Amino acid sequence: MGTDEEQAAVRLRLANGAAIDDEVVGRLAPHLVEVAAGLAALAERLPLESEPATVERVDERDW
Amino acid sequence: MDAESLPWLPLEQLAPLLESGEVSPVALTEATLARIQRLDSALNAFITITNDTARREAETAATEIAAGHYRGPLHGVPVSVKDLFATRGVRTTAGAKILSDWTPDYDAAAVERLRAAGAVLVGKNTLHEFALGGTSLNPHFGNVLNPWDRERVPGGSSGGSAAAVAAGLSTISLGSETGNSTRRPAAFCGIIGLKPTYGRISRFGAVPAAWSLDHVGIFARSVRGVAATLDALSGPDRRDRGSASAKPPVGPLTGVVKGLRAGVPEAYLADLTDEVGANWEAALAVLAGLGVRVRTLALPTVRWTALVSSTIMQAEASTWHRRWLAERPADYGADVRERLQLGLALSNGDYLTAQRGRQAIADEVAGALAEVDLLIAPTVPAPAPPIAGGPTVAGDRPYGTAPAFFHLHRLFSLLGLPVVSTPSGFSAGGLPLAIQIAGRPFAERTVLETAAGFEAATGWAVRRPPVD
Repeated sequence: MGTDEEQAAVRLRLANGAAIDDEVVGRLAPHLVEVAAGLAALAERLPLESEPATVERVDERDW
Repeated sequence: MDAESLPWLPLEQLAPLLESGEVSPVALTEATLARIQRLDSALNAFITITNDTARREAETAATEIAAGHYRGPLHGVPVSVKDLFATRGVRTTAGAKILSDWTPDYDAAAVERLRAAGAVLVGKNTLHEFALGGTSLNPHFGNVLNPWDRERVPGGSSGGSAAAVAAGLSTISLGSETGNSTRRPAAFCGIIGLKPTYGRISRFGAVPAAWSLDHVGIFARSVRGVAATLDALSGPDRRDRGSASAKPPVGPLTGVVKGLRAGVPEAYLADLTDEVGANWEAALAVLAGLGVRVRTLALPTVRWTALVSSTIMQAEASTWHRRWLAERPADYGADVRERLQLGLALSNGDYLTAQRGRQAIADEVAGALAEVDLLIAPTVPAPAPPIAGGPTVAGDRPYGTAPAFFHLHRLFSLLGLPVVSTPSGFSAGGLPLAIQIAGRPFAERTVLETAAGFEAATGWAVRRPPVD
């Protein structure tokens, strides 16, 4: 499977195709790993019942 | 009053002079266009200057007012708009090479309302490309320079709007905000910047950055200026699916806020420079003097704000840009292109996890706003950084997950809460500092009353940058 950064590089190439060059992939891969790690840590702390916010009108939210 | 002084007057002083006929919209517009002609080459706050149509609109306003048909406080007032608002017959670029030849055949909703209020459009303001950055350093249309120090950024993405208002090149300007794009440039340029509640002003006709985060923002040199403009622009619009139902206007402000309760998110006080920390303490003393009771709030979920906001923003923005990213990648500036390319690599799960985090943050903040009327904090943890630092603000990587600079801005745009940035003093180097005041959804009146009280007690917003 490779390291986290190698996997991130694969995701960047798959998502962007020929539009992204190797230098940029190398620069962005650590950031993608950082985002993934952050979101994994966030997910661990969310209550089981937690649901995504939706793009609803603010005045219809339960404030 | 001499013509040179007219463009510096705040809206609430200008409007009665226009209504009474003491000042002509034609004279005011000519004075403003003369300033733009003289000073914009040093600031680059405008991509397009609409001299001819502005003169015609000013003459129409003068005729209407003289005939007794005064429309309200924006009638005959020179305004500008960020160049991502569609303007009928006027090129609209979004600061991007990709849209450099787009001339819409319609007006954005906010522009429609400005025109209905009788405002005079003097031009379209420079911005960070596609509103996707915080400096307004633009590889296609040139960098916007900060009127207080032209070696520093004005902030972004609405940098041209803020620089124009700060330098007396328009009385009011419209910007937008997805993460920080109104409050940060307002803070760096020493003026008032309001981001209203999500949905209060229609975004129809504004080039999107991220649908669930985008707001229209307002810049002025006074709190009453942004309040009057908000009332002119607010209202439902079926063409914007985020548009809210009709709300009561803010109306006249008194600045009386005694007894209001304000909370300071604890995490917001980290990473401030000593200078900003001292400025913040001084601002708290002013608010206490106005009768505002301040307490610190823990709000532990707030530390996720930067991660959640940047994930949602990049996912939504890259989706909108997907086709151009594939077909015209070389037509983007490098910073914006890389930001969007990272967004394309995010997964459905990344986006939905961020949206779960967003709801958790919203729930916690809603609980806090049941106990306090306001949330307050410094707007920026340091003054405007040098242009030499590049298109990304130091400590504020566009794909970063750490709190850093993001922390102070993104909570209120993420949750759609109304928030105003108002000047709170100057650094030792003469650069503006600011505080931000947020409130419950659609509580713009409470937020702006507090800002008006602070403004009256301090007077920071009336200082002029050294541009003349």
